[in-house]
Amino acid sequence: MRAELGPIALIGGYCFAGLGVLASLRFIRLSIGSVVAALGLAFMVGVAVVLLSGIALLCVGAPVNIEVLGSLMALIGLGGFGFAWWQASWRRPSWARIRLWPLMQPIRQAVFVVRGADAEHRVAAGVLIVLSVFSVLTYRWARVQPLEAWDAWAIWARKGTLLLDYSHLPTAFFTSPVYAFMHQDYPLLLPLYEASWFRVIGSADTQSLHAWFWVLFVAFLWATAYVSSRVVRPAIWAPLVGLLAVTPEVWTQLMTMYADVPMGLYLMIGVLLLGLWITGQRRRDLVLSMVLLAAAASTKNEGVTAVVSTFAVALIVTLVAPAPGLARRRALVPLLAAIAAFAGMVAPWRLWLAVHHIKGDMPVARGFEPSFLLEHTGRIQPTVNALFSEVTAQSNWYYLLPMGLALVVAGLATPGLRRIAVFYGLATLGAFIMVLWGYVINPNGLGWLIATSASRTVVGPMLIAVAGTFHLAGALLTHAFQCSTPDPSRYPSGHATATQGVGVRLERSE
Amino acid sequence: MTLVFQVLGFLAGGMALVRLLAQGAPRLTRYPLAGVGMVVALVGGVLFWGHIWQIGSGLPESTRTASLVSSFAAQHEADPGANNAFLEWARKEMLGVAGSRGTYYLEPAKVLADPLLSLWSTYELLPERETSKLSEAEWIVFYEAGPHLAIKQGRPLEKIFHYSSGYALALKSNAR
Repeated sequence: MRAELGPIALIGGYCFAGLGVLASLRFIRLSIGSVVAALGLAFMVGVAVVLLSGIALLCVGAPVNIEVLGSLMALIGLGGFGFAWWQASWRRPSWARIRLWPLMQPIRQAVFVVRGADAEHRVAAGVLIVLSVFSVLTYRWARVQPLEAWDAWAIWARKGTLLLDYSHLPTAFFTSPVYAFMHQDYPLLLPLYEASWFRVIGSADTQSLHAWFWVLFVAFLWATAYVSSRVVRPAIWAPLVGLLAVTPEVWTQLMTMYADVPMGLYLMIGVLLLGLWITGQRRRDLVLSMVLLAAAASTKNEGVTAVVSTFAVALIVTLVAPAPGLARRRALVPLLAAIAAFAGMVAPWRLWLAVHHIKGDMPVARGFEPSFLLEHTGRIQPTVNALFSEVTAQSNWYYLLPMGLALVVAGLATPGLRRIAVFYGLATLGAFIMVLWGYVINPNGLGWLIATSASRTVVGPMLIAVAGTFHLAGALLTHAFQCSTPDPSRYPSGHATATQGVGVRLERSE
Repeated sequence: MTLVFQVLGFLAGGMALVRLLAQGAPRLTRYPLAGVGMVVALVGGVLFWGHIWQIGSGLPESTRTASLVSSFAAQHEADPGANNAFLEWARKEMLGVAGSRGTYYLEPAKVLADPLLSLWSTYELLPERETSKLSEAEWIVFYEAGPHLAIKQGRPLEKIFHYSSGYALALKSNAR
């Protein structure tokens, strides 16, 4: 019974916390349709916020067991809904009224929508139905898979099991040289995510853990559809979401249970929201983007480098070409504040590492010294070749890179879309350069390093390119048609109602 | 170079599509590159429909096959060559006897020379922590060695738990 009900309760708990955050940011309104549409994003946000809080608690020596996790979920969810209610009661009285619909009304509405849907929505509905069946089949398949990939048990599941066994951070494991192989400096979000699964099913069952990773992936696809549907027509986002679901380098790597894909999933949605902020200047996009990027940076060290390069690009774009009608300084202030908030979210783990003198094997400080870099220039060419050969292996990536590049080129050639095309283009390039830098300064032998990791380290930069694909594909079409795309009923206020990137007409409420 | 041609292909395809659709939506001709988004979605859709059946149709059979493997074998798939039954037994004994988490020393040291077995054993024996110093250990795990050598050397062992020939566990007398 525990094995069946536990996971449902856990998913529900994360969704509740995430919905609270989304409600407090006024991403959703109190309607069944709005809540259901946002469930994927809610799960991802819930996992991010609850586990970032959990990491902070672990770092101050507090235990994180199922009671603490449950309390965090309840506190964050209730706090978010409470804040939304408080805001609404002051600003929007209608929001505060919780209407009790007749049970049948949403079902009638759904039937009406399906009957009256245009061809475009039918395409989207078809893709979503097929994806739902695929998700169920894959869930059943995933829960019986064995855990065999090296890093999955040597690093990630090991730390997950430790957090299950000890509740608090077992410092001795993280400081002992015997356990250096488990990369003691790697961030803790994924192990804590695994430990929460182990706790609800009652054991460190590494078979069913695959299903837990699959849940994250389904939530990600759902969240991508939800976020991108604001700026992309259903006929565009639906096949692209479907393509992401079957792209071998994404879903097969996810099932190895390494951290690269989970990090990439958070990175992609975070960068997409940052892109939406750059074009639309909605502060809630920026806030949510920081939460998701903090989750990416707390999943894997490559997440930190990818986020740092993305921030640098966002700052350059905001500084060089601020949003229309905004002075440079006014445009920069919210971004700088958001970056400071991001730093605050990832700081606890870094401080804990510093306090316990735990260092990784990467000579990060020396990696900035010109003399050190010059000594290692011989590593550049082979790495570039290896990374290039990975991302252009179309049997693995299904043309996602040429798609993204073509859209960036098209965006650069379209006057109203240049800022956002530059953002995605440079963010992807920046993330690749950071990966390259990592290979150049890495103390391990390059041949072994490339053979064991090149296919994984490109996931982050590739998913940034995919974020750009979603945004730019929608923006190009909207720009051409010059018509509104989003469903205004989804957003209580402040929604984008015209072409993103061309100059979004905002009903500003911030 | 192939990548450049692929990018150009998407751009050209987009512009061609706009030209094709121009009669239905004349405004589109002013933005020929708008078709790139449509071509990307079109190619995405073709790839999706083509592969979803391919992957999905194989899943039920693959699930059935994987289900036939015992849970124990699946949980130890990473190193099926290790004596997993012994490691499992040793972990339970250490937890059961001491009732709390302690440290152990793996004997003989040659086990550590096999990186897979060395790392896998530390995973299997969680939450007990391995130490590289015998003096720090509360337990000694004998893997393909047996405790006779330790006894011969006169090490202070409080209690010895035998699993099978060559596999045993010893609680050191300095333990908690």
